[in-house]
Amino acid sequence: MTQGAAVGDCGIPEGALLIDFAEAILGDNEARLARARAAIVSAMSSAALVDAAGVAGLFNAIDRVADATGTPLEEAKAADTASLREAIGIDEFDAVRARLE
Amino acid sequence: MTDEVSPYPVRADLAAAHARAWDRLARAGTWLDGPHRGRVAAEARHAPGCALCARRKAALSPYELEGTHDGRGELPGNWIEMIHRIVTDPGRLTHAWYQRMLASGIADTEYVEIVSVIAHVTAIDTFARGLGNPVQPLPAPQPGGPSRYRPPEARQNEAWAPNIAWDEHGRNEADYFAGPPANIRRALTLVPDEARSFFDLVGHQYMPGPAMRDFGREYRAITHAQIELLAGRISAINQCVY
Repeated sequence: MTQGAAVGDCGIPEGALLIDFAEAILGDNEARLARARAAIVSAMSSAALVDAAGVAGLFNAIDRVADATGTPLEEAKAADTASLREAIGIDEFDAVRARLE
Repeated sequence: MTDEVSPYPVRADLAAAHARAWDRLARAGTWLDGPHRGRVAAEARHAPGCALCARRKAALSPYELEGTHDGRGELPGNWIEMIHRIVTDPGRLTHAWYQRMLASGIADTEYVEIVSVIAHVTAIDTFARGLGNPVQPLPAPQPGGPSRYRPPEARQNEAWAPNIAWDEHGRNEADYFAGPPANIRRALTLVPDEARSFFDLVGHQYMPGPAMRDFGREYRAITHAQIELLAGRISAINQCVY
């Protein structure tokens, strides 16, 4: 997976900092996480760091709820994102998962 | 609880939501008593250090490797297998694995409550990590027995675990099924109190339901776009395609 600065900011203000924070909070490099944390506080605010940590923590959990309960994507969302999912290869994930066992 | 040790001021509503979650974690749930909920939470924290899970994570298929988990010795082996897989490699769980967990003796209701306990601890511990705080000690288990309430409307739908369809809820769950339908809000509804509690966290760590699509106003110190970018990156790393 493309990571860090190579991802860019996706056209969103401070997007690169938030992407770096997401990667760091799920990683095991404490120094990187400390730098990512400090960068958000410096460029944005302490409140932004708190909210970013909240969102990151919540999605780290909700991903597990979705995956462990086999929750399917809503039909409307699947239809809306069909071309994007095909283009970036996400549709392959389910097929690969089916071949795991 | 979290803001007591944080150098960064935590919103009062968020600290209160964490306190409610910690209080519930200590108490008897719907299918697990307080001590078992605490043991599940402790095992979830312990799982990232498991050598078998690390080998499976590195393997092309995690189902190729047999072995014994580095568990804490407080729960049955099938519970430890379930907890460790969900914590360490959630993106490669399969329906066949879910069915094996049930066949091993874990009831579907227990399964959903265990998932919920893992999710609560993951949300709060990851938040603490983001702020550079130590994780909070788990609460002391409280006495009492589980309520054993299974909503009669819960049935097998498209998801692996039974749940309540959005337009099929009964009177007892009418408070929960408000707002626009979303499959993820149905995910834990086999155990409605767990669904309520987890989505209480969602409302404070992420956003309340009505705020999610109110793009005319920002509710947090980061914008809707920044929130979704961050959330999307977390889910991509976890290989969650929901």
